[in-house]
Amino acid sequence: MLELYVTFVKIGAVMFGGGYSMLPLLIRELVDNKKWCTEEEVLDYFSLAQCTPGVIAINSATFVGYKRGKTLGGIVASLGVVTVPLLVITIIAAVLQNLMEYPLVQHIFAGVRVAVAALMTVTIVRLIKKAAKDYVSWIIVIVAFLLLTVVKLDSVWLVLMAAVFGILFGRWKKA
Amino acid sequence: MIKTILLLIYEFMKTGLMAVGGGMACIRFLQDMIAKYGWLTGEELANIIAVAESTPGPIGVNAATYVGYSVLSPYGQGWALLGGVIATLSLISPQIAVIVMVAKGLEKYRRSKLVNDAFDALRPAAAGLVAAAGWSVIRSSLSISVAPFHVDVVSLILYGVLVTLMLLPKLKKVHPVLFLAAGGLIGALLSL
Repeated sequence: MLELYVTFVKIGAVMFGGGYSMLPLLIRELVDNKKWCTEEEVLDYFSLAQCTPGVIAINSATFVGYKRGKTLGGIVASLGVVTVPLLVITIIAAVLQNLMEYPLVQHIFAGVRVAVAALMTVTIVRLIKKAAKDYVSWIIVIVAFLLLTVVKLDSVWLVLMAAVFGILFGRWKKA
Repeated sequence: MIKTILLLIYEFMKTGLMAVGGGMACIRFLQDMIAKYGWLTGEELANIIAVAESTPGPIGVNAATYVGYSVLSPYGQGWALLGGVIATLSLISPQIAVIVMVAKGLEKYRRSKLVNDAFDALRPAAAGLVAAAGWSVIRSSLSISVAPFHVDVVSLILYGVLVTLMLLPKLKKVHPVLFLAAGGLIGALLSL
Protein backbone atom coordinates (compact mmCIF):
# COMPACT_ATOMS: atom_id res chain seq x y z
CA MET A 1 0.00 0.00 0.00
CA LEU A 2 2.84 2.35 0.86
CA GLU A 3 4.49 1.55 -2.44
CA LEU A 4 1.23 2.34 -4.24
CA TYR A 5 0.99 5.67 -2.43
CA VAL A 6 4.60 6.63 -3.12
CA THR A 7 4.28 5.70 -6.80
CA PHE A 8 1.29 7.99 -7.25
CA VAL A 9 2.87 10.79 -5.21
CA LYS A 10 5.67 10.63 -7.77
CA ILE A 11 3.26 10.67 -10.71
CA GLY A 12 1.32 13.61 -9.22
CA ALA A 13 4.56 15.51 -8.65
CA VAL A 14 5.93 15.27 -12.17
CA MET A 15 2.79 15.57 -14.29
CA PHE A 16 2.30 18.97 -15.87
CA GLY A 17 -0.67 20.43 -17.66
CA GLY A 18 -3.38 18.03 -16.61
CA GLY A 19 -4.74 14.59 -17.34
CA TYR A 20 -3.53 14.06 -20.88
CA SER A 21 0.12 14.44 -19.94
CA MET A 22 -0.35 11.62 -17.47
CA LEU A 23 -0.59 8.75 -19.96
CA PRO A 24 3.12 8.40 -20.83
CA LEU A 25 3.97 8.70 -17.12
CA LEU A 26 1.49 5.97 -16.20
CA ILE A 27 2.91 3.63 -18.83
CA ARG A 28 6.49 4.23 -17.74
CA GLU A 29 5.84 3.86 -14.01
CA LEU A 30 3.17 1.15 -13.93
CA VAL A 31 4.02 -0.96 -16.96
CA ASP A 32 7.79 -0.58 -17.41
CA ASN A 33 8.99 -0.03 -13.83
CA LYS A 34 6.49 -1.71 -11.49
CA LYS A 35 4.93 -4.20 -13.92
CA TRP A 36 1.58 -3.77 -12.14
CA CYS A 37 -0.46 -3.58 -15.34
CA THR A 38 -0.07 -4.26 -19.04
CA GLU A 39 0.02 -1.37 -21.47
CA GLU A 40 -3.42 -2.38 -22.78
CA GLU A 41 -4.87 -2.17 -19.28
CA VAL A 42 -3.46 1.32 -18.76
CA LEU A 43 -4.83 2.52 -22.11
CA ASP A 44 -8.16 0.97 -21.22
CA TYR A 45 -8.30 2.65 -17.78
CA PHE A 46 -7.30 5.92 -19.35
CA SER A 47 -10.06 5.86 -21.94
CA LEU A 48 -12.60 4.85 -19.29
CA ALA A 49 -11.32 7.67 -17.06
CA GLN A 50 -12.49 10.06 -19.77
CA CYS A 51 -15.93 8.44 -19.83
CA THR A 52 -16.50 9.08 -16.15
CA PRO A 53 -17.00 12.46 -14.47
CA GLY A 54 -14.24 14.48 -12.82
CA VAL A 55 -10.51 14.97 -13.08
CA ILE A 56 -9.08 12.34 -15.47
CA ALA A 57 -5.88 11.85 -13.46
CA ILE A 58 -7.82 10.97 -10.31
CA ASN A 59 -10.03 8.55 -12.21
CA SER A 60 -7.03 6.78 -13.76
CA ALA A 61 -5.29 6.59 -10.38
CA THR A 62 -8.39 5.12 -8.75
CA PHE A 63 -8.66 2.44 -11.45
CA VAL A 64 -5.04 1.33 -10.97
CA GLY A 65 -5.30 1.57 -7.19
CA TYR A 66 -8.47 -0.51 -7.20
CA LYS A 67 -6.76 -3.20 -9.23
CA ARG A 68 -3.88 -3.36 -6.73
CA GLY A 69 -5.81 -3.06 -3.49
CA LYS A 70 -9.58 -2.80 -3.99
CA THR A 71 -11.41 0.23 -2.54
CA LEU A 72 -8.64 1.20 -0.12
CA GLY A 73 -6.12 0.99 -2.96
CA GLY A 74 -8.26 3.36 -5.03
CA ILE A 75 -8.37 5.88 -2.20
CA VAL A 76 -4.63 5.58 -1.48
CA ALA A 77 -3.63 6.07 -5.12
CA SER A 78 -5.86 9.15 -5.50
CA LEU A 79 -4.56 10.69 -2.29
CA GLY A 80 -1.08 10.08 -3.66
CA VAL A 81 -1.83 12.10 -6.79
CA VAL A 82 -3.11 15.11 -4.83
CA THR A 83 -0.38 15.19 -2.15
CA VAL A 84 2.28 17.25 -3.94
CA PRO A 85 -0.16 19.58 -5.78
CA LEU A 86 -1.89 20.32 -2.47
CA LEU A 87 1.41 21.34 -0.85
CA VAL A 88 2.73 23.27 -3.85
CA ILE A 89 -0.49 25.21 -4.47
CA THR A 90 -0.91 26.08 -0.81
CA ILE A 91 2.61 27.49 -0.65
CA ILE A 92 2.19 29.41 -3.92
CA ALA A 93 -1.19 30.78 -2.82
CA ALA A 94 0.28 31.99 0.49
CA VAL A 95 3.28 33.64 -1.22
CA LEU A 96 1.33 35.16 -4.11
CA GLN A 97 -1.19 36.79 -1.82
CA ASN A 98 1.52 39.25 -0.76
CA LEU A 99 3.32 39.48 -4.10
CA MET A 100 0.13 40.41 -5.97
CA GLU A 101 0.45 43.99 -4.73
CA TYR A 102 3.54 44.60 -6.88
CA PRO A 103 2.83 46.04 -10.35
CA LEU A 104 5.53 43.83 -11.90
CA VAL A 105 3.80 40.68 -10.67
CA GLN A 106 0.48 41.97 -11.99
CA HIS A 107 2.04 42.56 -15.43
CA ILE A 108 3.54 39.07 -15.45
CA PHE A 109 0.16 37.58 -14.59
CA ALA A 110 -1.59 39.64 -17.25
CA GLY A 111 0.80 38.06 -19.78
CA VAL A 112 0.40 34.53 -18.42
CA ARG A 113 -3.40 34.93 -18.50
CA VAL A 114 -3.23 35.73 -22.22
CA ALA A 115 -1.05 32.64 -22.74
CA VAL A 116 -3.58 30.55 -20.80
CA ALA A 117 -6.36 31.90 -23.01
CA ALA A 118 -4.33 30.89 -26.07
CA LEU A 119 -3.59 27.45 -24.63
CA MET A 120 -7.27 26.86 -23.85
CA THR A 121 -8.20 27.92 -27.39
CA VAL A 122 -5.88 25.30 -28.85
CA THR A 123 -7.19 22.64 -26.44
CA ILE A 124 -10.78 23.52 -27.35
CA VAL A 125 -10.05 23.26 -31.09
CA ARG A 126 -8.55 19.79 -30.57
CA LEU A 127 -11.41 18.68 -28.29
CA ILE A 128 -14.07 19.80 -30.76
CA LYS A 129 -12.25 18.11 -33.64
CA LYS A 130 -12.28 14.88 -31.64
CA ALA A 131 -15.85 15.12 -30.33
CA ALA A 132 -17.74 16.60 -33.31
CA LYS A 133 -17.65 13.97 -36.00
CA ASP A 134 -21.14 14.35 -37.47
CA TYR A 135 -23.90 16.98 -37.75
CA VAL A 136 -25.68 15.99 -34.55
CA SER A 137 -22.55 16.23 -32.43
CA TRP A 138 -21.68 19.60 -34.03
CA ILE A 139 -25.13 20.85 -33.08
CA ILE A 140 -24.67 19.57 -29.51
CA VAL A 141 -21.32 21.40 -29.21
CA ILE A 142 -22.85 24.67 -30.44
CA VAL A 143 -26.09 24.42 -28.46
CA ALA A 144 -24.14 23.52 -25.29
CA PHE A 145 -21.85 26.53 -25.76
CA LEU A 146 -24.77 28.91 -26.38
CA LEU A 147 -26.83 27.56 -23.46
CA LEU A 148 -23.90 28.13 -21.11
CA THR A 149 -22.76 31.53 -22.36
CA VAL A 150 -25.95 33.26 -23.58
CA VAL A 151 -28.66 31.63 -21.44
CA LYS A 152 -26.13 31.15 -18.59
CA LEU A 153 -27.49 27.69 -17.84
CA ASP A 154 -25.93 25.95 -14.85
CA SER A 155 -23.35 23.36 -16.01
CA VAL A 156 -25.01 20.61 -13.96
CA TRP A 157 -28.22 20.94 -15.98
CA LEU A 158 -26.29 20.87 -19.22
CA VAL A 159 -24.58 17.59 -18.29
CA LEU A 160 -27.90 16.04 -17.20
CA MET A 161 -29.67 17.22 -20.37
CA ALA A 162 -26.91 15.85 -22.59
CA ALA A 163 -26.99 12.47 -20.82
CA VAL A 164 -30.78 12.22 -21.21
CA PHE A 165 -30.59 13.32 -24.84
CA GLY A 166 -27.96 10.68 -25.54
CA ILE A 167 -29.99 7.94 -23.90
CA LEU A 168 -33.17 8.90 -25.78
CA PHE A 169 -31.62 9.60 -29.20
CA GLY A 170 -28.23 7.90 -28.90
CA ARG A 171 -28.97 5.73 -31.87
CA TRP A 172 -28.39 8.57 -34.33
CA LYS A 173 -24.84 7.40 -34.84
CA LYS A 174 -25.87 3.92 -35.78
CA ALA A 175 -28.80 5.01 -37.91
CA MET B 1 -17.98 30.77 8.03
CA ILE B 2 -19.46 27.32 8.73
CA LYS B 3 -21.90 28.09 5.94
CA THR B 4 -19.04 28.88 3.54
CA ILE B 5 -17.31 25.61 4.43
CA LEU B 6 -20.49 23.62 3.86
CA LEU B 7 -21.03 25.39 0.54
CA LEU B 8 -17.43 24.57 -0.46
CA ILE B 9 -17.99 20.89 0.31
CA TYR B 10 -21.30 20.82 -1.55
CA GLU B 11 -20.08 22.71 -4.62
CA PHE B 12 -16.86 20.73 -5.00
CA MET B 13 -18.59 17.37 -4.53
CA LYS B 14 -21.05 18.43 -7.21
CA THR B 15 -18.14 19.33 -9.49
CA GLY B 16 -16.39 16.00 -8.93
CA LEU B 17 -19.59 14.13 -9.63
CA MET B 18 -20.83 16.11 -12.63
CA ALA B 19 -17.87 17.62 -14.48
CA VAL B 20 -17.72 15.35 -17.51
CA GLY B 21 -14.66 16.17 -19.63
CA GLY B 22 -11.84 16.30 -17.08
CA GLY B 23 -10.08 19.21 -15.41
CA MET B 24 -10.97 21.73 -18.11
CA ALA B 25 -14.66 21.00 -17.56
CA CYS B 26 -14.12 21.53 -13.82
CA ILE B 27 -13.05 25.10 -14.67
CA ARG B 28 -16.55 25.82 -15.95
CA PHE B 29 -18.01 24.59 -12.66
CA LEU B 30 -15.61 26.86 -10.77
CA GLN B 31 -16.81 29.79 -12.89
CA ASP B 32 -20.41 28.87 -12.04
CA MET B 33 -19.73 28.86 -8.31
CA ILE B 34 -17.77 32.11 -8.12
CA ALA B 35 -20.55 33.81 -10.09
CA LYS B 36 -23.19 32.36 -7.76
CA TYR B 37 -21.54 33.26 -4.45
CA GLY B 38 -19.27 36.16 -5.50
CA TRP B 39 -16.29 34.34 -3.97
CA LEU B 40 -13.73 35.62 -6.51
CA THR B 41 -13.59 37.89 -9.56
CA GLY B 42 -13.15 36.51 -13.08
CA GLU B 43 -9.63 37.91 -13.15
CA GLU B 44 -8.72 36.23 -9.87
CA LEU B 45 -10.00 32.91 -11.20
CA ALA B 46 -8.04 33.42 -14.44
CA ASN B 47 -4.90 33.92 -12.29
CA ILE B 48 -5.71 30.71 -10.43
CA ILE B 49 -6.07 28.83 -13.71
CA ALA B 50 -2.73 30.28 -14.82
CA VAL B 51 -1.05 28.94 -11.66
CA ALA B 52 -2.88 25.61 -11.97
CA GLU B 53 -1.61 25.20 -15.54
CA SER B 54 1.99 26.01 -14.73
CA THR B 55 2.48 23.89 -11.59
CA PRO B 56 2.74 20.09 -11.33
CA GLY B 57 -0.43 18.09 -10.84
CA PRO B 58 -3.83 17.78 -12.50
CA ILE B 59 -5.32 21.20 -13.42
CA GLY B 60 -8.67 20.40 -11.81
CA VAL B 61 -7.05 19.45 -8.51
CA ASN B 62 -4.68 22.44 -8.52
CA ALA B 63 -7.49 24.88 -9.26
CA ALA B 64 -9.72 23.33 -6.58
CA THR B 65 -7.01 23.64 -3.93
CA TYR B 66 -6.38 27.26 -4.87
CA VAL B 67 -10.06 28.25 -4.95
CA GLY B 68 -10.68 26.57 -1.57
CA TYR B 69 -7.67 28.42 -0.17
CA SER B 70 -8.77 31.79 -1.54
CA VAL B 71 -12.39 31.45 -0.42
CA LEU B 72 -11.43 30.85 3.22
CA SER B 73 -8.36 33.14 3.29
CA PRO B 74 -10.32 36.17 4.67
CA TYR B 75 -10.69 34.13 7.89
CA GLY B 76 -6.93 33.71 8.31
CA GLN B 77 -4.06 31.57 7.06
CA GLY B 78 -5.05 28.45 9.02
CA TRP B 79 -8.56 28.44 7.65
CA ALA B 80 -7.26 29.10 4.15
CA LEU B 81 -5.05 26.03 4.42
CA LEU B 82 -8.02 23.99 5.56
CA GLY B 83 -10.11 25.41 2.70
CA GLY B 84 -7.65 24.06 0.14
CA VAL B 85 -7.71 20.60 1.72
CA ILE B 86 -11.52 20.57 2.02
CA ALA B 87 -12.07 21.64 -1.59
CA THR B 88 -9.61 19.05 -2.90
CA LEU B 89 -10.98 16.14 -0.87
CA SER B 90 -14.57 17.12 -1.72
CA LEU B 91 -13.65 17.16 -5.41
CA ILE B 92 -12.02 13.74 -5.48
CA SER B 93 -14.22 11.72 -3.09
CA PRO B 94 -17.31 11.34 -5.32
CA GLN B 95 -15.03 10.48 -8.24
CA ILE B 96 -13.29 7.75 -6.28
CA ALA B 97 -16.69 6.32 -5.31
CA VAL B 98 -17.87 6.34 -8.94
CA ILE B 99 -14.68 4.68 -10.23
CA VAL B 100 -14.74 1.99 -7.54
CA MET B 101 -18.31 1.15 -8.58
CA VAL B 102 -17.35 1.17 -12.27
CA ALA B 103 -14.26 -0.94 -11.61
CA LYS B 104 -16.37 -3.60 -9.91
CA GLY B 105 -18.46 -4.05 -13.03
CA LEU B 106 -15.90 -2.99 -15.59
CA GLU B 107 -17.16 -5.12 -18.47
CA LYS B 108 -20.78 -4.33 -17.72
CA TYR B 109 -20.08 -0.60 -17.69
CA ARG B 110 -18.11 -0.69 -20.91
CA ARG B 111 -20.75 -2.68 -22.77
CA SER B 112 -23.72 -0.84 -21.29
CA LYS B 113 -25.86 0.57 -24.08
CA LEU B 114 -27.15 3.24 -21.70
CA VAL B 115 -23.66 4.47 -20.83
CA ASN B 116 -22.47 4.40 -24.45
CA ASP B 117 -25.54 6.25 -25.68
CA ALA B 118 -25.24 8.87 -22.94
CA PHE B 119 -21.57 9.45 -23.77
CA ASP B 120 -22.28 9.86 -27.47
CA ALA B 121 -24.01 13.10 -26.45
CA LEU B 122 -21.87 13.84 -23.38
CA ARG B 123 -18.62 14.01 -25.36
CA PRO B 124 -19.71 16.87 -27.63
CA ALA B 125 -21.52 18.52 -24.70
CA ALA B 126 -18.28 18.39 -22.71
CA ALA B 127 -16.47 20.04 -25.63
CA GLY B 128 -19.10 22.82 -25.53
CA LEU B 129 -18.63 23.08 -21.77
CA VAL B 130 -14.88 23.49 -22.11
CA ALA B 131 -15.41 26.01 -24.92
CA ALA B 132 -17.66 28.06 -22.64
CA ALA B 133 -15.02 27.90 -19.88
CA GLY B 134 -12.37 29.00 -22.39
CA TRP B 135 -14.50 31.86 -23.68
CA SER B 136 -14.83 33.19 -20.12
CA VAL B 137 -11.06 33.07 -19.66
CA ILE B 138 -10.46 34.70 -23.06
CA ARG B 139 -12.91 37.48 -22.21
CA SER B 140 -11.29 38.32 -18.91
CA SER B 141 -7.71 37.90 -20.21
CA LEU B 142 -8.20 40.21 -23.19
CA SER B 143 -10.56 42.58 -21.30
CA ILE B 144 -13.28 41.97 -23.88
CA SER B 145 -16.68 43.55 -23.43
CA VAL B 146 -19.44 43.39 -26.01
CA ALA B 147 -21.52 46.49 -25.36
CA PRO B 148 -19.85 48.97 -25.48
CA PHE B 149 -17.32 47.02 -27.49
CA HIS B 150 -13.84 46.96 -26.01
CA VAL B 151 -10.78 44.77 -26.30
CA ASP B 152 -7.22 45.22 -25.08
CA VAL B 153 -5.38 45.45 -28.41
CA VAL B 154 -1.91 44.51 -27.15
CA SER B 155 -3.29 41.42 -25.39
CA LEU B 156 -5.26 40.51 -28.50
CA ILE B 157 -2.11 40.65 -30.67
CA LEU B 158 -0.15 38.58 -28.15
CA TYR B 159 -3.03 36.10 -28.04
CA GLY B 160 -3.11 35.81 -31.83
CA VAL B 161 0.63 35.29 -32.05
CA LEU B 162 0.60 32.63 -29.32
CA VAL B 163 -2.32 30.68 -30.81
CA THR B 164 -0.59 30.70 -34.21
CA LEU B 165 2.68 29.50 -32.69
CA MET B 166 0.95 26.74 -30.71
CA LEU B 167 -0.78 25.47 -33.84
CA LEU B 168 2.46 25.28 -35.87
CA PRO B 169 3.24 21.60 -36.43
CA LYS B 170 6.93 22.23 -35.72
CA LEU B 171 6.19 23.64 -32.27
CA LYS B 172 3.74 20.90 -31.26
CA LYS B 173 6.36 19.24 -29.07
CA VAL B 174 7.17 22.45 -27.18
CA HIS B 175 5.97 22.14 -23.61
CA PRO B 176 2.92 24.36 -22.86
CA VAL B 177 4.62 25.70 -19.72
CA LEU B 178 7.20 27.39 -21.97
CA PHE B 179 4.42 29.33 -23.70
CA LEU B 180 3.07 30.39 -20.32
CA ALA B 181 6.54 31.56 -19.27
CA ALA B 182 6.89 33.46 -22.55
CA GLY B 183 3.54 35.12 -21.90
CA GLY B 184 4.67 36.18 -18.43
CA LEU B 185 7.95 37.57 -19.76
CA ILE B 186 6.22 39.58 -22.49
CA GLY B 187 3.64 40.77 -19.98
CA ALA B 188 6.44 42.11 -17.76
CA LEU B 189 8.33 43.72 -20.67
CA LEU B 190 5.24 45.45 -22.08
CA SER B 191 3.74 46.28 -18.66
CA LEU B 192 0.47 44.70 -19.81
